[in-house]
Amino acid sequence: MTQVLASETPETGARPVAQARVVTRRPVGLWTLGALVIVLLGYLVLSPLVYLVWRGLTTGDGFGLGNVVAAYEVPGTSEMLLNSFLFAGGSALVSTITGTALAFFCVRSNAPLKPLLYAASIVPLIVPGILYTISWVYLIGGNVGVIKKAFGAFGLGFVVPDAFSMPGMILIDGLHLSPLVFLLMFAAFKSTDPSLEESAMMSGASVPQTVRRVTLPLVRPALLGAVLIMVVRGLESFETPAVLGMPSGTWVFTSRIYDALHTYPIKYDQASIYSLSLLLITVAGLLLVQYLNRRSERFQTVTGKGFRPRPMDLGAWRWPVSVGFVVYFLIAVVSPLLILLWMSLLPFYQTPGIAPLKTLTLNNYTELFQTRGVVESIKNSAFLALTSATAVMLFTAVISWLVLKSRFRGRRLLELLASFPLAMPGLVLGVALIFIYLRSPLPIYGTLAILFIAYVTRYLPYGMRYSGSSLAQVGAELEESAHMSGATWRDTFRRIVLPLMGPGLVAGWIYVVVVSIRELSSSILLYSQNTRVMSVTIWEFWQNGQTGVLAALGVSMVVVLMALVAVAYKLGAKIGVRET
Amino acid sequence: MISLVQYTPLRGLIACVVSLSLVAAACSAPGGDSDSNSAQGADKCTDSATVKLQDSLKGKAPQDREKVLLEQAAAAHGGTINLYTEVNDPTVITDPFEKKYDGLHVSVYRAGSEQIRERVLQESQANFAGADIVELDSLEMAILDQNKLLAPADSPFLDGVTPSAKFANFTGDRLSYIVPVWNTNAIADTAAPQSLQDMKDPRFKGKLALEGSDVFWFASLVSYLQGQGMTKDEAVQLFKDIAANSAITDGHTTTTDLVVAGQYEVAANNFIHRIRELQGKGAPLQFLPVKVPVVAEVTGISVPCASANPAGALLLQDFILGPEGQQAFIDDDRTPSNEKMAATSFGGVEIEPIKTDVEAISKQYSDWNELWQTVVHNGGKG
Repeated sequence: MTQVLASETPETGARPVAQARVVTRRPVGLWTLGALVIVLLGYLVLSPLVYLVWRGLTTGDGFGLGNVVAAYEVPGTSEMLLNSFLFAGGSALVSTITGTALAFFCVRSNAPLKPLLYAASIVPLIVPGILYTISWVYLIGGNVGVIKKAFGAFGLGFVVPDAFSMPGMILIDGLHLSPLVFLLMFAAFKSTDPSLEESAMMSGASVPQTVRRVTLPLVRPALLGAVLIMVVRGLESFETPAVLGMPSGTWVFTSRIYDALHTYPIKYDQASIYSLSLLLITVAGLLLVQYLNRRSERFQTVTGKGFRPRPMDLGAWRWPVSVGFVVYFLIAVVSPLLILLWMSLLPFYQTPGIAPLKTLTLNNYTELFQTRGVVESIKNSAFLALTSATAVMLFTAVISWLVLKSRFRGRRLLELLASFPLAMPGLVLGVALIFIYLRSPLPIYGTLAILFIAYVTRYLPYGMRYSGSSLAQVGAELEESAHMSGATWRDTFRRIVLPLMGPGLVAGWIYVVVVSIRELSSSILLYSQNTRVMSVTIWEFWQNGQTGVLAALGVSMVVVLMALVAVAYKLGAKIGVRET
Repeated sequence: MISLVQYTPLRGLIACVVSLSLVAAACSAPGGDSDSNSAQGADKCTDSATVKLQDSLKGKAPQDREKVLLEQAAAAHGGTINLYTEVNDPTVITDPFEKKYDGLHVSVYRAGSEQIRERVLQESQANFAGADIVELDSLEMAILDQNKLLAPADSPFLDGVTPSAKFANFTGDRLSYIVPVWNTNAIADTAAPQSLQDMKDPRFKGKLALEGSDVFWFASLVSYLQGQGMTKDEAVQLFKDIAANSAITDGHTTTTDLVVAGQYEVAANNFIHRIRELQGKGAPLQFLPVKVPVVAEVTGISVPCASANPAGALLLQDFILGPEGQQAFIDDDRTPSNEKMAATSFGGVEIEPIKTDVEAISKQYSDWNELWQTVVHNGGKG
């Protein structure tokens, strides 16, 4: 039993004085901590959930299942369900494979061009969903796509999927979400002891064999968590189905929810039922992952023994792998960015060529910085992103510790609670929060606080994955030793647990910062006169047809956020999170 | 002992959190599945500050009215007026207004019409005074009106407004004409749609875009076609046939942009002001000659009874409906609702929109919307 809580083994204490304090304080301390976490988490997660259930199950005649039947009797529901799973599964497959491979080669191999890999993995995350989708329309859209046309010229047009089709949607969404998998797996690979791989290779295993039989099984909890997140995220994804799915008649859960919320009287009941369906699917997936990961200590490789992640020699695979990633870099990063840059320099979109060069202009950039409210929205977004990311990572670090390392009763409940928001579409969370805070005596409605609450709630599950998967690999011996040496729980947490979780926490923090800046579906409902955020500004540019200005903003965002990520990366290196 | 300490309080705690959340989420019941809560609306206007103010202004000369409004507006909420509007660039109105009335400040919430309507309904149900004045699509405005949230239309400039934009509790302040557009690099003007029926012609298959949220346009045209002798089923079938030929897009401006880019050759429903704006930048677009019945969407303005700064709201409304505001719309490529000024807005081209009964359509909004969904779901399937 490596997970036994310090407080329950007082006889192991070496110093009688410290021991007495431990016995009296720790159960109470633990209980207080657990209680505090449950209250906060419960409040954040359950209040919108209760609202959803209420709305979903209330009909004119009181409580009942009438709405469920009605929601699933809408024509085309079976097709919608099939589409939803096909889309979510497909994009999860694309993002998991690319993200995991990128993370693996970035952390564990001696492949050349690693900084390029890192950039390749992060940039799609920075580009707002709407913009990434649009840029792909201009790359592989049936009649307008540059790549599509180029291949078509050689009679190979069929090789490139049409943006407005299921394969196109899967490809675009998968590529856009692969950074999330990358960040999750990056942390996991960082905290895996490479000596196991070295032993495998010393015993004569080839690189693919080692990866398949040692590396991947070691990161299985993180990988399963990533797959779950990606599938649910795919089910909940909005931009791609809205921009690409609706024109081709491909309806999914979220476009149905969007539809239900864009009519009058608003079909809150239907939107709630679809959201609750997503929630049930997520809970089922989560229980499955919990079951598969039930023996978490099998994956602990960071133990008391000193270890240092070292790159693995790819040998003959070194260059083929690198070429593969250059191709990926060109497709997933360079081409959408080039199209964005091109769009940002034109008064209206024209297919790239010689003639439009005459119309090149910087007007979009001037217009961007002259438009009123843009600067304020950037400030609001930056403030919200930094505060919510910090809050999410600190909060989830504590929750993860309670879930994985303590014997706190109800830790399963904690994990489940923290994962619920994953399945709650942003639009629906927004609706719920408006309802609650319009009636709350606290002055939260119409302020940045309501957006903060939304972001923290929405990104808790992601924080959980990051802190959870990095903590899962930290063995209990280190904490036990600290305890034996007389450290208090707080000291142990601060000086042993947090630093060991460092890579995961930093990766998670970066991720939450970036997604908070991009968050649209809740923000669009929750912003007010003075609390407009950047994603709303982006959405408005898009709605107003200012695609050129929007592209200019996209290009500026990529430049600024890349600089920020680089700084965070360097800082990470300084405090010892990253191996240099 | 430890298990006892942890066990019982935990259960209690969970129960406590659940009940807290219940209270938070439901301290006022959501009340079924619809938000049309007209019963409570009646009280919002009787004895409201807005209506009282309007009564006290009756018979006053325009200059006196302006003076009274200005004084009261500056005194309320530090001179701040909360405007909820769907206009793309609110500064075309707010800048000249703030310049004219020093000391007043317009705080703008800009969003789509549906979103504004829903926000106003939600806020009013929670008795939260958010908007002092609202400007949104007349169809959505009619929903607010059905909920009895709006004070009677009242302004010295009502006389100049085109008759189709006058309503009891709100007033059209600008018009958006909806027409088909085509990419002149892709098709010749002569090959453009010659009628609504023409858009179901196989030559447009896969080349036509249809904006998928345009219930008002659809309802207006179906009603119009019925007036021309078609049955409702025939008219709806016509739209289903057009949809089967089309890709369904989201957002008017996006749709027009995709025509500029060449993704689609023709789009069925676009705003003229957007087309003219793009033409001004040199985009290969054309919408003339117009061979299809034109629907004019009316954007309306109104002061809610629950306005916290009714004087400021009425002053802003007068400004928008008056010559300065209407001219500002023309300068922004929009068509104002002032009948005389509107005539100059298309550079001499005369476009006569079909007559539309906004209130009738809005009363059956839900039915029209469902019908439209069956059309949209037919998209791209032909």
